[in-house]
Formats: sequence, C-alpha cells, structure tokens
Amino acid sequence: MLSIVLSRNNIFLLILVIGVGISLSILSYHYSGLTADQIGEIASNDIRSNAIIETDGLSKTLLHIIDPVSTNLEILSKIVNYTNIEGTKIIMDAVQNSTKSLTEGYYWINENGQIVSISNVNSSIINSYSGIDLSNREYFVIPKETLASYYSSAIESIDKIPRLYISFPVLERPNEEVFKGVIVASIKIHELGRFLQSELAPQVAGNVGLMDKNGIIIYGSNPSLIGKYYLGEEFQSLVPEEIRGPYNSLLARSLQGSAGAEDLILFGGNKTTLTYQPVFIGGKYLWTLFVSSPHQLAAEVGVLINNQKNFSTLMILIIGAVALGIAFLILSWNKRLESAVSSRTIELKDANNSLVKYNKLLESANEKLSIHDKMQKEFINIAAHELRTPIMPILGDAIYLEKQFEEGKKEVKVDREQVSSIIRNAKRLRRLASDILDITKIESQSLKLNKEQFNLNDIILSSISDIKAQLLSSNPEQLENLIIVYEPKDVFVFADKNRITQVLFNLLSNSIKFTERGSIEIIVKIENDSAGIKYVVVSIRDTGQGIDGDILPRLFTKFASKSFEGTGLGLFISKSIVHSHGGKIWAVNNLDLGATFYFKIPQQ
Amino acid sequence: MTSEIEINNPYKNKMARIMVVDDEKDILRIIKRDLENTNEFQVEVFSSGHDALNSFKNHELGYYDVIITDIRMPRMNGFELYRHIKEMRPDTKIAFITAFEINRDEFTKVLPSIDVKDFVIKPIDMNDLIFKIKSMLAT
Repeated sequence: MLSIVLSRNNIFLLILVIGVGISLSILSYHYSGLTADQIGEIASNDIRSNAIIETDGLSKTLLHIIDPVSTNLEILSKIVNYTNIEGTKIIMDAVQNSTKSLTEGYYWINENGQIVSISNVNSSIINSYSGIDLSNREYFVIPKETLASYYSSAIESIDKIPRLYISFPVLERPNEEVFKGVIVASIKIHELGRFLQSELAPQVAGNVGLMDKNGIIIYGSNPSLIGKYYLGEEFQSLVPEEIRGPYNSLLARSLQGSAGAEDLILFGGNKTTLTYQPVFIGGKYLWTLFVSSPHQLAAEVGVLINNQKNFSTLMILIIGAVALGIAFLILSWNKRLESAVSSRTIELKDANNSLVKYNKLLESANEKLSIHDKMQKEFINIAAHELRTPIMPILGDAIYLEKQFEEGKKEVKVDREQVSSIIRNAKRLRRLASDILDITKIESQSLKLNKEQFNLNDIILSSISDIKAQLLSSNPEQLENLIIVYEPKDVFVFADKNRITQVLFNLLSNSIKFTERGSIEIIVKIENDSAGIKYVVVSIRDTGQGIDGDILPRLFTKFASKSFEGTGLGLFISKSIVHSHGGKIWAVNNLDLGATFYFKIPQQ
Repeated sequence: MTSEIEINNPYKNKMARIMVVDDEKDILRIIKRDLENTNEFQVEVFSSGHDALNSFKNHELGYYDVIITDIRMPRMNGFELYRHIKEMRPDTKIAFITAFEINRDEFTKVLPSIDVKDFVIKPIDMNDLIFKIKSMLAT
C-alpha cells in the first residue's frame, strides 16, 4: 500500500499536506500559547491588584472593628469607679454587648492584679476569681509600666484557646499618673479570623493571616500555628522547602511596617500573591495583615486556555490526519486506477510485442520465402533466358526456310551460317539441359561417380582442342589473340573421367569467356597433405578481367555469374563434382592480371 | 546480301530506321533479315551497348525512329543504354526485348526509373515485333 503511493508526485503532495498541517499546528499552538500567557498575566495582575485593594480594605475593616473595642476600653478606663463597682459593671456589660461579635469579655483588674469585675458575669463567680493574681500578665504589666494602652499578640490561655488582649490602664485623676489597674478586653482570635475571612471578597479566594510586629502569628488558616514565631520550627516545617528562602524574606520585609504585594511561585509553578498591609492602631504599628491570593483563577484560565490550545491543536492534527487520510485514499485510488491502467497498458504492450514478434517471424519467414522466391525467380529467369535465347535463331531460320516452301518453292537454299547457327544453338540447349539435369542430381544427392584410372593429360588435351574448335566457330578473332599454355605430362588419377572432364572444360571455358586476349596457362602438380595422401592439383591461370569482388565470396554458388551467356550453374556443378571426389575447388585473383582457378582431388 | 541491297536502295530511305541491339549475333541476324523482308524498315544492328550508343551519338536527331534493345548484355546492359539515350534525347522511342520471364508490373517494380511501355519476350514472334514497332512509330 505504501509503495503504491510513493511515486514522486504523490510524495510531494503528501509532504505538502503534512507540512501545511504541521505549520498550522505550530502556529495555532504558538498563538494559543501566547494568548494563554497573556491572559494568565492579565489575570495575575488583576488578582494582584485585587489582593492589594482587598488587603487594604481588610486592614481598614480590622481597624474598624478593633477601634470600638479600643474606644470602649479607653472610656471604661476613664469611668471605672472603685466606689461604684456595680455601676461600672452595668456599663461594662453594655460595652460587651456592643462588641460581643468580637470580644469575649471586658475585665477590670485592680492595681494588684486582681479581678474586680467581668462583663456579663455575675458577682458570685467574679468573687471566686478574686484570688487569681494576674499581675504578671503582659496585658497588666505593660500598661502599668507604660501607662499606655496595650495590644497583645496571640496568647494561649489554660483552655488552649488563643486570645488577643487589649488593655488600657486605669489612672487616678486628676494628674493621671497613678496606676490604678487595667481594663482588658479579650478577643477570641478564631472569631477575629472568621470575621476577617468572611469580610474577604470571595473572588480573591485567598487566606487571611495576621502577625504582630514581632513576627508572632496572631491568626492563620492553620490554628496550630497561632501564637508561634514565624521563624520557629512549627511554622517553618510547614513552609515548603523550595520557597522557604523567598517566603521568609518576604515575611521579614512585611514586618518593616509598609504595605506590599509579592508573588511567590510555589512548587509546580502555581503562583500566589502575598499581600501585606501594616495595621496601625492609635498611631502605632502593631500588626501586619496578610492576604494570600493563589492565582488559581489565572491558573484556571491558563489551564482553560491550555485545554483550548490543546484542543484546537488536536483538532488541527485530527483534521490534518483526516486530510492526510483522504489524500492518501485519493492517491491510492488514483494509483490503483493508474496501476490498473498501466497493467492494462502492459497487457496491451505485451500483446503488441507478441504481435510485433509474430510479425517479425512472419517477416523473416517472408524474407526467407522471398529469398527462396528470388532464387527460384533467378533460376527461372536464367533458365528462361538460356532456354529462349538459343531457340530464337533455330526457330527463326526454320520459319524463314519453311516460308519459302510455302511460297511454292520445291527447293530452298540454305547457307552455311544458317546451319552453323542451328547447330550452335542446339548444342547450347543441350548443354543447358545437361546442366539442369546435373543440378537436379546434385540437389537430390544422387550424383553418382564412375571412377576409373585415367590419364589426366588426355582429358586436358582433348578439352583444349574442343574449346579451340568451339572458339573457332563462335569467335575466331578471340582465338587469334589468345594462347593456351600447357606442357603435356602424364598424370594418372582414379576418378570419374567424364565428370573431371566436365570440371576442366567448365573452368577452361570460364577463363576464355573473361579473357579477350593474352594467355591461359594450365599446370598440373602432385601434392602431399599432412596425412601423406597424394593430391592432384590443377590450376588454370588467365589474364582476363579477374573475378568481381561482389561475386568472389559466392563464386561457387548457383547463379553467381557475371557472364551474360552462361547459366551461372557451371561453377556450382564443378564444385559439387570436386567435393564428391573428396577434393577442393577455389579461385584467387592474380596480383597482376586475371584470375587463377584451382581444384585438387585425391590421386587414388 | 539482300539487306545490303535494300539499305543502299534510295527508295528505301524514307523507311523507318530501326536500331536493334543484342549480344546474340544469331538473333541479330534473324531480326534484321525478317524486319527488312517486310520492305518497311531499315535495320541497323549492334552487338553491344557501346557500339549502339556510339552510333546513336554520331547521328543527327531523329536518325533512328525506334530502338530495340536486349536487356541482358555484357558490359553495358539494355537499361544502361536506355538511360544514356534518354539523357541525350528523352523523346527517343525505345523498346526492350528480353528472354527474362517478366511482366510489365515486375519491370516497373524492379526499375521504377524506367518507363517501360514496350517490351517483347524472346523468342520473338516476328509478327508481334513488327506490330509493336509499327504502333510505336504511330505514336
């Protein structure tokens, strides 16, 4: 399947689709990321400024609820009357009722540290507390020493409930320098905290904390830490180690009496803005109010956007994958079509090829046929020519003579030329007939040799005289210009006398045909081959025009003739005769003039 | 010979002059004799293309009325002679005589450059040849 699709164009298309998909994903992811970061940042800024505003508001609220207590205490400290305890108590009860949402109660302690009165508590119970010495408590000692109001840190009592104490000294009038006891208000820190927490805007979703200027935790979300020093073991053990340094230094900064807002990055990248605001009571810096606002919203927005981002990226990826799938399907479908087409094309090509092959076979068969045909035709042409040519003079003379008889003559005159012509042409026909007969024998392999012992010299001499006689009749002029050279020598050979004569005569007349003037030389030699067999070699050398270069390679095949008289069969017949004697026939062009024909046959 | 008498006869000077070319001297003898016996033609015979061409060159235009040549001849064959003559005098009337087994279509196929209108197959029926020559002279 993959290989089907992996053509060059298809790879390009696939890469294009994948490329576009990846780019879109990256762009979308990048853009979404930017947007998420920006929105996160905006949300964080919003949270931070909200936290600052909230903290400021909360510190004011804190003052607002602490102030009445302070005012009450201040008034009480001025109006308490040791001579009218019951009357003072009524006022104390009323004061407590006015601030009961925060205060647990108001206490009147004399200059010896003994409880004089407690708001909303009946005198019999108060009397049972009279033995308790509170002169060592800070809310007693410090106002006594300083003659000024005192705001305690978180103090844990016997009942394990952390409380905040505010005390004002009771001074004797008119000079107001004699310490006569204290008025103390106790505030349950839980109540304070719950109040502060409830005052905190819900969208801040943070926690409120309160610490005094010395670093003692007055209120926090973890109750067990109340009253503990922030650098103490209990608190520190709860601060995650990775933020301990920055957190502690932030807290240290917050205790310098100024407001601030700082971001803390918690483990896991969550951000929290810690806002702190000093609380001044009666012009004195007493506490620091903390609001921690986790950037949960921002984080949520971030997460939301991240989800969105992931979702859109996923969508693009899915769409890309679907597009890819579709592209793949289209391509493979296309490919399948293509391959179907190409396989059909291949089939067609194969069919065509086999047709072409078949045609070629036919062609070559035709060629063979036509070669055969051509040879056949050549034979017919030559045979026709050679048959028809001699017939014409014979027939022509005969008709001419007959015509004279038809004209009423009893006797007609025949001249020598007419008779010679008839004989010459009749002999030519006879020779052709015998050649054709020989060819038929050779081709049907029924050429029989009648071997006998004879003198080669005899047949050479008789051939020379025959050919001379023939030449005298047909071309006496040529005979005058030509000499035939031969030194008679007895050479006996065991062969078919008539056939060898035929070969000799053939070669001789062939030479004469192409040699208008000069000489024809016949030489007979005896030769031994490597096996020691004796051969008779006859050579006929002429001074004629030589053998045509075109003809030479097929000199001894049928119809290889440059002559315009012969049948083109003579040399073929000669070759067949020599071969059937176990001999060899060949020819070469002489270096100077003419050609030499050789044939050799075994002597025995 | 009768032919010599007739050639030299001034009366015969108006007769059509036929050139016959063939390497077979026996054939030339018979054609010449038979054509001249009609008393309609003067016949000049040549046994080679060269001799025929030389004679053609040495005579004025229109000297030969019809040329009849064999095809298969040594050295210059009938087609070569045809080309040489046609090059010089394209309107010369030339007919072929041949012993080949060939028809007009095959002729045209083998030698498309030669417009073979007329050819006579050997052995020649002299009546055919005479008719052929007369029809060529008439065109």
